[in-house]
Order: sequence, then structure tokens, then C-alpha cells
Amino acid sequence: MVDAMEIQELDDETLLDLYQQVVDHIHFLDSSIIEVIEETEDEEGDSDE
Amino acid sequence: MSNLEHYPIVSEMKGDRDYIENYELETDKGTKRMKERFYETAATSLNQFIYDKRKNYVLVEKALYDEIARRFPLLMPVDSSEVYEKMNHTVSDLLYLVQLNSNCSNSFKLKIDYIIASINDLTSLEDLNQKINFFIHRFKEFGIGLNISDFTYTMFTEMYMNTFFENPDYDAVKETFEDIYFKCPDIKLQLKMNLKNIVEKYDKQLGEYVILLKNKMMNDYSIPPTTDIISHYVQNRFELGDGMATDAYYNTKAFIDGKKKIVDYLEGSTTRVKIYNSFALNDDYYSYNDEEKKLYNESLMSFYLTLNELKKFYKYEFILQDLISFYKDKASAKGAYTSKKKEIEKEEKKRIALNNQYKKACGIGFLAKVSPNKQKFVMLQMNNHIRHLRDLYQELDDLEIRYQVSNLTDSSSIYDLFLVSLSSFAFLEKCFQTEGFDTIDLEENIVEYLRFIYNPNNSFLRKVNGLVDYNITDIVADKYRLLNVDVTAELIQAENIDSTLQDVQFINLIQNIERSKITLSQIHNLCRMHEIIVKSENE
Repeated sequence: MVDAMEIQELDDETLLDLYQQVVDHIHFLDSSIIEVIEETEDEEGDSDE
Repeated sequence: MSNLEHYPIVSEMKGDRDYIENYELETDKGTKRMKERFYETAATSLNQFIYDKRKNYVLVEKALYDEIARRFPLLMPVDSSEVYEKMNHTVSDLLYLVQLNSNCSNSFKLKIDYIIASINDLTSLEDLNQKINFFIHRFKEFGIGLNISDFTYTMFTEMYMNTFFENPDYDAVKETFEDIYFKCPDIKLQLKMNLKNIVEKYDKQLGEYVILLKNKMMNDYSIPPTTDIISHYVQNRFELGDGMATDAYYNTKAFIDGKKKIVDYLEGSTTRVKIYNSFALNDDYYSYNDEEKKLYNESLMSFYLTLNELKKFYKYEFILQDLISFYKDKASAKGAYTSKKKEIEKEEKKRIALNNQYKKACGIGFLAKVSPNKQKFVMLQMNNHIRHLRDLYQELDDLEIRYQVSNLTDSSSIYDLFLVSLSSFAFLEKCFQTEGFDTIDLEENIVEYLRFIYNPNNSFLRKVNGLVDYNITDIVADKYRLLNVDVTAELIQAENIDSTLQDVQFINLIQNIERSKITLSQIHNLCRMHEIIVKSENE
């Protein structure tokens, strides 16, 4: 995604802004994970719609 | 904020967001069961997408963090505290040199007065002995060897010091002290007056030592003999102060340590705009052209330095008021002082006569006869006489400063008045016994006072006549209004000066950073880096 050379060439402000964006993005990904609850096979009351 | 749009990773993150936000988790086709299964599958698939992406971003985060952690110590300015400490030591020595060259008495210059002043009602026997020891030791440094003949102020001081010179150990002296005490409860006072008497006796030799010390210091610091010592001190003090004010490390630390918030100081911040505007006569600093901004900034820089001195002036103003009142009564000062000195001379002769009578009653001298009754009688007389002498010397101290002030002229400045106060240690001792000066000791108080008097930024004191009705607050406010700074006398009165100083200090810090080797932007980056590193270390 970003190689070591590229990182070293970033100026200080860009490095910091990029870091913040990546951290924020990881938080976004974490908050987007969906909790999937497995349903049991033989549930009653299942109707065709 | 930097422009990151062209970085592939940023586009990728944007793509992730779009994908996730638009991802179909539900369908409206099929049965309820089919819909639930659809949801399960979709969610699982989305989660897998997120996990895979996350793994990569975590690696990127680490790589970026490692670079931040690598750069931070390289970008952080170097700590030059040791250099400033050395400079500060030099400045302190130069201030002492200024004092050696001043109108202070020899015993004040050589710090003997502090030893004597430290003997009071609360001084323990152990402390008293240490102080006497130190006093004798100092005189030895001056090339003056004191012995018992110097401690014959009264028969009691002689008794005490006989034991002291034989064996200064606490236990030996304690026994003598207890023996003397009931005959002379004032033994501490008498020893104190004996020390003062020694100072007067050796004043000429002390003066010679002062010259020696002065020459040695000038030599040690390679100061040419024709140099104006005060200017030399002021120059060094200015260089130290300016160096520290524009030091990149100190200024960065203030923000990194959280003492100040960097975002308040950046261009465009609400706080910064508000404060800059508050001292602009038109309330709009940002409408000024470059020349006007330059003048404004120069005025504010000078205003900051002046306000600091004005604040100290308020602290010492009571001294000035005393001196002015002494000047107003100057007509009788010289006569009263001379007359008091003559009176003391007479009483000192009586003291010597009493000592001689005592010696005779002890059987010492030609035709002397031992008489215990006569001894007791003379001892009693001596105790009363010393108290009388103590009162006379206190009166002399009061008259001395009045006499010194009477030598000023009607055109003397406030600075001249403050200088005259240095001629009387007793006067300064009294001044610094008042409330507000008790958190530090007398010597520290006097050093601070000297730093105030000889400060390079108190030019307003040198130019204002001290003996007419002055109002320093109005004078300073008027001066800076003329320099287009929006300030009123009310804003810089004693009660309000702190909050005004706080705002001016804000601008002064920005100015100092602009004159330094680091920018606000660089400091901002360092603060962000520091925050990231600390957060990571705490996790």
C-alpha cells in the first residue's frame, strides 16, 4: 500500500495526516463489523412470502 | 491539513468506505428464511472483506508509526540548558560585581551584614555558634585574623568568646552560656553588637579587600578596567534573557508539556486573532499593512518587557514612597545624623570605661582590687548601657538613610532613589521584613531587588523624576498609546496587570518563536508526534 521509501519521503505534516487517516479508517472498519447471530435450523412459524 | 488526495492508499480507503457503505446486506426477494440466509452470507462476506483490509492497514499504521517514532527525537530541538546555566552563573557573578562597585557599605558587599542580620531572638545557641564561626572564617578570607581581643565589647562577650576560642564545641560553650545567661540575658544582643563593632573597626581593611575582589573578578572574566560594569552586566543579562526566550527547545517543551495549547497560537486561531486585535487601536490587526504590523509588533515586544518591570515596580513602590517622604524632610537630616553619631561616640566611650571598671574590680591593672560587689554592679550597668546603645544605633540606622536621601537633588529620577536605598543595609532589612517578602530569605530578596534596579528594561524608571508627583501607570499607558497600542492605565494598574500581561505574553511568545530557529508549524508537528508516541506507549 505504502512502501518504506515512500514513507521516508513524506514531509512531517503529510506523515502525521496520513497516519491519522489510517487510524481513523481502522476505527471505521472496526465499527463496520457486523455481529452475525447463527439461527437454528428448525425454527417454527417460517412462512413463504 | 496536507493534500493527501493523490496518495493511492487514501483512494483505497475512500474506496473501502464507498464499498462498505453501499454494500447490499439485504434482499427483498424470497422467503423470510431466504432473506435471513442472504443477510448472514452478506454480513459474513463483508466482515471477511473488512478483516482482510484491516490486516493490511494495521501494517501500514505500524510503518507510519515507526517513522514518526524515528523522526521525533531527530526533529526535537537540542536542550541547551547547560549553556544557559553557565551563562546564568556568569550573569549572577556580574551582578555581584556591580554591587561591589556600588554605594553599598563594605560589610554589605562582602555579605557580612547577612550573618549579623541572621542573629535574632529565635537563633538557637548552636546556630549562634555556627554564625560566629562563619563570621570569623569570612574575616580570615579577607586576611583578617580575629582573636579574643576583638570580642571584648562587654565583659560577657569576652567570657563567652574565651570559651569559644578555647573549645568551640557545643557542650563547652553551652556550659559557659548557661553560666552567663542569668547575669546577662542579652548575651545574644551583645554578641551581635560586638560583631557590628568588629565590622566598623576593620572597615578600611574590608574596603581594601573589596577592591582586591573586584579586580580579581574583572580579571577572571577578562573585563577591561575601563569597562562600565553596569552596561557589561546589562548586556550579558540581555543576551541570556533573549537567548532563552528564543530558544527552540524551551519553547517547544512548553507546548509538548501541555503548559500551552499549540492550536491557540497557530495562524487563524480564534484566540490568536482576538488577542492581536485587542491591542490594535482599530481593533483589527489583520487590516494593517506590513509596515503597520511591523510597528505594532515592535511596540508589543517593548510593552511586554516594560510590563514585567512595571509589575516589579508595584512590588517595590512602597520603598520609593518611604524615600520620597524622607526627602521631603531632608532639611534636618544631615544635622540629626551627625549629632546622633557624636552621641554614640560618647556612649561607646562610656562602654569602654565600664569594661575598664570591671577589669579593675577583677583585680586586673595597676592598683586594682578584687571586688565581687563592684563586679556585679558594673555588670548590671553594662547590661543597661548596651540596651541604650542598641536603641541609639537603631536611631542612627533610621537617620542614616534619611541622610543619604538628603544628598539627592530635585531632578533625581526614580532610579536614583532606588539606588540610594542600597546605601543602607538596615533600611533594606526593614523593608524586606514586610509581608510579601517572607517566602524567601533576606539575601534572595536583596538579589531580586538588585536585579530589578539594574534591569535593562526599566528605562521608564531612569527617565521619570521621582520627587515630583508621578504616576508611572499613566506614564507607561500614555507612552504605548502613542506607539499605537490600545492600552489604558486601568488595564495596567497593579490589580489588573496580571491579566493584561498574560495576553501580551501570548503575543510575545509568538514573536519569540518567529525570531527563533523553529516555527509554530514545526512545533505543532512535534506536539502531534509526541501525542501519538505517548498514546502508543500507554496502550
